[in-house]
Amino acid sequence: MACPEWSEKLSAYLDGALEAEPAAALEKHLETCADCRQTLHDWRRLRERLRALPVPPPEAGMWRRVMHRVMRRSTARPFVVPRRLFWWMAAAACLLGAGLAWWWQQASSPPSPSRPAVNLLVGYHADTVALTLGDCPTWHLVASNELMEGE
Amino acid sequence: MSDKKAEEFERLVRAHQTTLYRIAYRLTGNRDDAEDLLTEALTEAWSAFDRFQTEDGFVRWVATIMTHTFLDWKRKASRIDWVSLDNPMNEDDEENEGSWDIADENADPETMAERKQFWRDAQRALDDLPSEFRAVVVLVDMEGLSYEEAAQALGCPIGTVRSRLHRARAMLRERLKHWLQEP
Repeated sequence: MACPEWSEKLSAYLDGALEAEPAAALEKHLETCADCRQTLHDWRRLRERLRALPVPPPEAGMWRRVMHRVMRRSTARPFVVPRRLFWWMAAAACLLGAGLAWWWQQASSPPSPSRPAVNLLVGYHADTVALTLGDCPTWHLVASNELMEGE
Repeated sequence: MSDKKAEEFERLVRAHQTTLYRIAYRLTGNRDDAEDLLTEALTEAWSAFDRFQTEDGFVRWVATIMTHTFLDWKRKASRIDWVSLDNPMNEDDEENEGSWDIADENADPETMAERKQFWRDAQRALDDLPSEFRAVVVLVDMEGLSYEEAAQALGCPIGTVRSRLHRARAMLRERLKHWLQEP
C-alpha cells in the first residue's frame, strides 16, 4: 500500500500530470519506498490490461437501427411522459377537469340571493368605480376619484 | 436540417463508429445498453449538429454527450437495467463467450481461458465502481484522454478527475491484485 501522503501524486505521476518539482520529490521518495514503487507498478500494469480489454463486436444491424432511430426521433420526436410522472399528471388533469366543470356550472346558473359570495358586480358610474363582491360588507370596495383626490 | 447535413452527419458517424461503439461499450459494459447510449447521444448530437464546427472534434463531442447521458442514466437508476441481457462476462453465456475469441484467435486454450477470466474479473470490478469513477477510468485509463479532456467530458474540475481516478485505481488494484503480477 502506497504512503497516503504520496498516493494521489503517484496516480498523477503515472499520467504525466504532475509538475516538475513535485515529480522530482516523488522520484526521490520512490528510491527508498518499496510500497510506493509496487503501487506505481501495479497501476501501470492495471492501465495496460484495462486498455487491452477487448470489446465484443456490436450485434448485427446495430448501426442501421441506431441511425434509423436517430433520424426518426429528430424528425418527429413524440411527447413522452416519464412513467413515474404519468399518474401524477393524470390526477392533476382530473382535478383540473373537475374544477373547470364546477366553474362552468356556477357560471351558467343564475345568481342566487342565498349565495352572495359568488356574485361579483362591477359598476361604473361617473367618476366612481364600485366593486362589490356579493353582499359581504367586508369585501365591499369603493374607489372614487373624488375620494382619492380628496385625500 | 438539410439532406446535405444529414449525409455529413452519417458520414462522420460511419467514419468513427468503431471508436464510438467502443466508448459506449466500455461505459455501459454490455451491448444492449451501449446501443441505447449511442442512440441517445447521437440523437442529441444530431439535434445540435448545426452548431458543430470541426470534424476533428466529432468523437470527443459525442463522447462527452455519451458520458453525460451515461451518468444521468445512472443517477436515475430505474431508467436502465444494469443487469446486462447479453453480458459477455456471464460464464453461462456460451454464445457471447464466442464473440470474445475474435480478438484472440491465435492464443492457446490455456492462455485464452486465463485471459477470459481476467476479462470477467475486470468487468465485474468496473461494474462495481461508482459511475463517476467508472467514467473517469474509461476516459483516462482506457481511452487515453488527458485530465483536461476528461474534465471537459465529465463537466467537473481537473482536481476532481485526479482524485476520482486515484480512488478508482486504488479500488481496482485491490480487486484485481492477483492479476497485476508480472507473468
